[in-house]
Amino acid sequence: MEFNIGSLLKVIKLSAQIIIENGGETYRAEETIKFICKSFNVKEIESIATPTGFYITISVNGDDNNTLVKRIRKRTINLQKINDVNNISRKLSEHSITLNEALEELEVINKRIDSKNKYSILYAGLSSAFFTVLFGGEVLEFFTALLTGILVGAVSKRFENLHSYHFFSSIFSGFIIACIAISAAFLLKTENYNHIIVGCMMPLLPGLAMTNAIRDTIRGDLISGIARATEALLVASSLAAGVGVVVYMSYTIGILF
Amino acid sequence: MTDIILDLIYCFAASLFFALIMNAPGKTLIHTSIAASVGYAIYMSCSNQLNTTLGYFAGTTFVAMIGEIFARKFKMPATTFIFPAVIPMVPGFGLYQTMLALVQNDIPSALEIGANTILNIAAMATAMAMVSVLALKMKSRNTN
Repeated sequence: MEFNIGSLLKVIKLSAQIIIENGGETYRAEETIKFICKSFNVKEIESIATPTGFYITISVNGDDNNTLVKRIRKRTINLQKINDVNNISRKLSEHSITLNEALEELEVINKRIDSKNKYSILYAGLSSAFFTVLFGGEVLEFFTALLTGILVGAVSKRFENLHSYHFFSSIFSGFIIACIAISAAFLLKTENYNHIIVGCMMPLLPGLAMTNAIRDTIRGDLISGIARATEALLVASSLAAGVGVVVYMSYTIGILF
Repeated sequence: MTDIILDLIYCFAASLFFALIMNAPGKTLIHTSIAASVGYAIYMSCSNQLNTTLGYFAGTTFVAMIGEIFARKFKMPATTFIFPAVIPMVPGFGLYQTMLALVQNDIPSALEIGANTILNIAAMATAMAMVSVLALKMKSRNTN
């Protein structure tokens, strides 16, 4: 079968890039590359993917090598995009679409901004609010957590483009959550500020990083596993530090006893 | 009894909105949230009757298994289902209490709660790893 090696390389680069940037496991990126290349009868495929970048070498006839290196700088979570890439690689391996069509679709997926969804801040608030009542909050705590969640969602959106996004946004979110929860406890005389804090922390905990760390390690991707575990540890401890500063200060000042 | 049903409804709503924040595909939302509620119910009953760590293990095992089954059925990555469904079980309260004890300079209870939290997270990780290995074995048998 005739095909352009340049477009094949572009397709596999873009699909691996979208998977890693949006929170997919690294072995998924490697397998997608292998999956697409095998359907085009590429003789040799070698790829190493880590959360910070990937290297691919393919050899179509066994003699000439094409190598590609891509550095990944931003990492967010978007499950929809991972699914879309999954569908495209499936269609491509069945040859129901051509390489150029796949490339166009991948570029659309890459540029699409789902996170600008105007409801996503509201979802963050509602999620925090329901976690708060799940942990034993009442009606008053529900609405406080709703407001806090909306505010934290808006703040994390702001920090999304910053370079050290995870660290800053976590520590800042923790700070805001604790400030609002303790002020609510002080002003409204509610006892259950703990529930508000934990409920609002839950959506920010690094669940995906933890899940992926385990799934990557199990498949033998030790470097990716360690990298993800470090990410999870960093996010969790900076969140705790943000909350801890405020709680410590309110103990020192004497708002809490 | 009403409390338990209310808790499950709250758990359903919380994981539904959480999945929406993470841009989960529309047709997976209901399945994921139901899996989260059932997993949470298993976790609660196990930790009340037997042992908290065992509860985390059993709940996560269920969620991971149902996630792998849905992944085969929908032809989608398993993470899409496992990740939002496992979130209600992540021991956030333990993490917070550890931090609170540290802030109050109560090192013994910080160590105690912290060790417990780490144990619970490890139980969840073991459950996920176990199911993941099993799923991998089944997959390779099917393709061979």
